[in-house]
Amino acid sequence: MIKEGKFGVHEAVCLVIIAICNKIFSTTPGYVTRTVGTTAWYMTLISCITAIAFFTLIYLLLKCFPGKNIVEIYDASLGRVVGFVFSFLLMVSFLLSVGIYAREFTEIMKTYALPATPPSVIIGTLIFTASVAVFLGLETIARVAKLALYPALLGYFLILVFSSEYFKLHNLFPILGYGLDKTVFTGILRASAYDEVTILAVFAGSLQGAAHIKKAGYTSLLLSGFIISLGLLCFSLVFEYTSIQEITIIAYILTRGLKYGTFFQRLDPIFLLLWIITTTIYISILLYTTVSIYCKLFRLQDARPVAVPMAVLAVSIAIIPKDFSSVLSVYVEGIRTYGNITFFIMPVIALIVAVIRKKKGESECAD
Amino acid sequence: MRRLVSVVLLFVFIISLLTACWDAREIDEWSYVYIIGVDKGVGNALRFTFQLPSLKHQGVEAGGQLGETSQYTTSIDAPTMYAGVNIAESFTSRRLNYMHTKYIVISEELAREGVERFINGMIRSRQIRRIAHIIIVKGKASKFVEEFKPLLTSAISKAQEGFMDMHWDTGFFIDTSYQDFIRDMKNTYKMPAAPLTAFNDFSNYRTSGNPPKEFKSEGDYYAGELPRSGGNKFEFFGTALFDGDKMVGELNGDESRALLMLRGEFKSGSIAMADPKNKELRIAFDTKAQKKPYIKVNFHEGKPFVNVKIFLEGDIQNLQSTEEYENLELKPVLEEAFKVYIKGVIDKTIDKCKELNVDVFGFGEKAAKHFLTIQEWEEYNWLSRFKDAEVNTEVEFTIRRTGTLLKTNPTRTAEGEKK
Repeated sequence: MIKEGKFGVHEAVCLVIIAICNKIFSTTPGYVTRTVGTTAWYMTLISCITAIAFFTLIYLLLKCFPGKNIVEIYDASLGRVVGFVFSFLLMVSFLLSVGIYAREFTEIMKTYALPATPPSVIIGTLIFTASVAVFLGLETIARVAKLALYPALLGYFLILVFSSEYFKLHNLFPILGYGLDKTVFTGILRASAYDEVTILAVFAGSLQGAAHIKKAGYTSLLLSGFIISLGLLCFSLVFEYTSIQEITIIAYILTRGLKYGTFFQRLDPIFLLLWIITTTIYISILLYTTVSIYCKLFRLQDARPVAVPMAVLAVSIAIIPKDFSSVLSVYVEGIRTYGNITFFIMPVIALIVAVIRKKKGESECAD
Repeated sequence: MRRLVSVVLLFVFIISLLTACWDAREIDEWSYVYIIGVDKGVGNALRFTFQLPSLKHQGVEAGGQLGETSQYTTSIDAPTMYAGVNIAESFTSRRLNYMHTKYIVISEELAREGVERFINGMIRSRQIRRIAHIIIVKGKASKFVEEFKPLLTSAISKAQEGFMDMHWDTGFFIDTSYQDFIRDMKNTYKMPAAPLTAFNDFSNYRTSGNPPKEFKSEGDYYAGELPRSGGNKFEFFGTALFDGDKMVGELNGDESRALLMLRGEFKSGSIAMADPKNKELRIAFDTKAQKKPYIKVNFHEGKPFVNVKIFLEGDIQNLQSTEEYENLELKPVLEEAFKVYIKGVIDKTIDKCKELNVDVFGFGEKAAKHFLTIQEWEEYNWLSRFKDAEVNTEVEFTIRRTGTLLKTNPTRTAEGEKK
């Protein structure tokens, strides 16, 4: 089995927060507002609560098989064949995420900052950096995530504080948006926005036991829910729902619109810096997770030979969509809508089977 | 061997960095557009006029001072702005860059026909700044762009900011950014409004005759009609009112102040009125907003009722009368007269906007709180119901200070005190 090193709860929380919260800088706020209107800021809290509920079940599954990661647990609970299929699907989900989010990032960079740069250069640079991170290992990524999170959060909150001058409370009304039912339903469906918490199950062996995983999972989910909800609330307070619905990257427009006198204006470079750093870490985490699951699946001892082929696959996936519209409406939305299945539903199935088999005396489930 | 390969690879990598960014453009490869003017086209759908700095100094003057930089303008008929930019680049040596454009000037003729097609179109470019100011010009936008040569400074961009900042001091016009305009054009709470500008031919400046007996306020003019001579040919005065993307009316200077007060955007202004005890004399207050207005919207059988309270405070700036308005007995008389005067202007402005059915005040923002879902709100359609709204206004005004005089003594003539 590959050696992934050890890291603490603190690093794990930073890793998961960066992975989850990076979406606030993407096209997600606009898409969500199109569906729920003025309620995006509390819809995401419903998503967060749903994700916490799913994570509780994942935690119970991990507790059931102490010391094992999700790939080993699938094998133990569902048998080698079904377990393999489940693990493989999880790996494919992560690989798709690497490719699609890299492409989304590229398209946005081309739209706002690097219009003359070929997409292949941006995708290539991003995936190359992620590959280097994979070579350096999970421990390195986790420590870099810890290092980067604080300045990233500082910049993020500064942007939100500076935007407070433009807050208009009326933008939150009508308070139920397109209807409470729609908000709740979308909130539950969009729990996939928090699905990166599943990486804790993949790297269960690197954390010191189920108690640490529990602490890291709940802390990162609660903090991520707070960070995303606060961001969406600020966007809603500054822009009317009709504006948010049509703007590609609302966070970028917000920073670009900040104006305190003739000197202190156009803070978009802060946004770009934050976004590029967090996205690079995010893509690195996803690519490493993909490689890690693959190695665990095929019981490979060394992750490095797998890194480059996976990177090539990720680049291939990134260049499949023919345009930005299909990246957003087909691929990103597809991951958001069906992500719950691989990231949350499958572990729940494994848990149910483990519990049933335990009752029959067939399972090694510990508790 | 491995070490040698690593060194060679590192060398190749470092060499590749020497090329710098292959798609980078230096600052001297760009020409930065200061103002974009949009008119109805003749040879094509729209006429775009760009003002650009020539960056060619007029030479060094005596004393080593640099001469003023000059601007040049170019107008192009094109289907879209970006097509126009491409055309312009066929006869310029630099790429046009509108990242620092601060004014987007639209002709009144085009504004009355509708601005949606290019307001929506232009915003897609990353170069267009949403903090650029939208300005409606009476007459041709191309002429405004050509003639925009501020007298007090050669720094165009600083002058652009300066002109717009004046609305905080005077309140005679509003300031609308591209973001504000496009937002109000599409939202369900209020309608857009934009500052008006016009050329003044100085024909209202009479060189002889008597002043009017009736009180005429300093803001009772529309853009292009100020009684003045000299100075910049153009003036920013009044506000253009829009129903969606079409201009449907305008406000004069006084009404623009009322609009700002109702929006909670009024900062200060020197407001004059007739002396309540002697209508021939004038009093001016350095008026400031004390706090944001209180606006409450209620519904009774579907009809909206709007209650507005404006909070102002001011210092006596000019007192032509010798009445002791500074003392505690007469101060309330002055305050009351000012309240009545301001309420009159506000009511007139609201009535004008109700007639045009354009809620530029943002009362809809308060009304939306009464609706639970967007479907209910959009079905009610506030923007179409504004004309039915009953708006009750109230003004609070306190004289805080009396300036550098505590009392005005009468002038003494040979006959004694002047009455």
